[in-house]
Amino acid sequence: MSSEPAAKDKVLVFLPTYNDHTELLRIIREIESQGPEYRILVIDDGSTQVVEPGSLPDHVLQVRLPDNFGLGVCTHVAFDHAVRHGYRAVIRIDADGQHPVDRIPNLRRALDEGSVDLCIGARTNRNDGNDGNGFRALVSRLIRQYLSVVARMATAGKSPADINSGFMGVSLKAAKQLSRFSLERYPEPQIVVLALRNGLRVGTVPIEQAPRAVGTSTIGLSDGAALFYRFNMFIIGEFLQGRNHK
Amino acid sequence: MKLVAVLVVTLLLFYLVRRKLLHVDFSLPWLLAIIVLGFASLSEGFVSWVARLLGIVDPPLAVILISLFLVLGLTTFLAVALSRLRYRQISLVRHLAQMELSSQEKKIAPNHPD
Repeated sequence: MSSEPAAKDKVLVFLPTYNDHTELLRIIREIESQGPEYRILVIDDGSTQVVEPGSLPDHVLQVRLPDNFGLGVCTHVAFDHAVRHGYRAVIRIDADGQHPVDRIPNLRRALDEGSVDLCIGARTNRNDGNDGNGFRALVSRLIRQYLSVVARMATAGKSPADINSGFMGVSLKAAKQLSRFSLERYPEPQIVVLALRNGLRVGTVPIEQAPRAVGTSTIGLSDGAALFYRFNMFIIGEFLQGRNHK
Repeated sequence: MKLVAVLVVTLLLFYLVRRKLLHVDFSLPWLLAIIVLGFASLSEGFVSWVARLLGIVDPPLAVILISLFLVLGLTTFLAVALSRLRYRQISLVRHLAQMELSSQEKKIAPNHPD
């Protein structure tokens, strides 16, 4: 363990998981193959199918939340840990195998260069399980477009086109700042808006999203409606506040 | 009869608190609601006064209006209390997760200063 880099030299890569464990080990191996600077944290968001404690390598940090609290709380747990132990950046990658692990170094480089505090893996395709011509696909597209337009309005046109991507990296500074807010169940658009309205710099790296390897999209119509409602309440709150949080 | 009904409801409230089915902090709004509704049921003068105050021609309608306001008030109170509990629960979960992860971090990198 003497060659173990101190946490400040490391990047925390966290994988929130909810009943999609089958790809975990493969993703962990792929992340490890990207370099020794990545510490992996698996956050089980109260899955009904429990990840067996011995099923992951010993050097992987692992925590199981007592109930399904949503991605906002998972993100808080990762940020809290990174801030407490001084990791230089935090990267989120989903456990369903859709995000390209080989793009993690691109996110890290963008953050290391210091030109951005939040870097989003902007999808050049979708493959999010909501494609097609059905009613659900239509609603999904409309909600995405709406979120994107409103986010642009709230950030004076600075927010990127894809604000729903879960593949993202944040610097330690950004993690500290974002920890002060209450992140909601689907926090991606909220994180982008909060970052920009708090003077953090946001950039993107293009990624191709793979088809879902396991499970189905967790966002159904009712979840989409809840996301839509929560985002609107959040944006109204931001507009009512009328100024940056700095 | 009205007084008996008010007493029964009040006793039911004390019973719920005593059996720890209702926390004492959450019982106060219910007690206030019972007092207001009890007073309205026992005193026609009070109902007439409220009706006159609100410009309601038919005094019994004032009782419905008072009940509606009380229900809205109680619902709001409970929603606020539940939300507060939810935030505390999240705060506790974050704290527990940090304790667990810090312990694992020490095992993985024992020389790292916390």
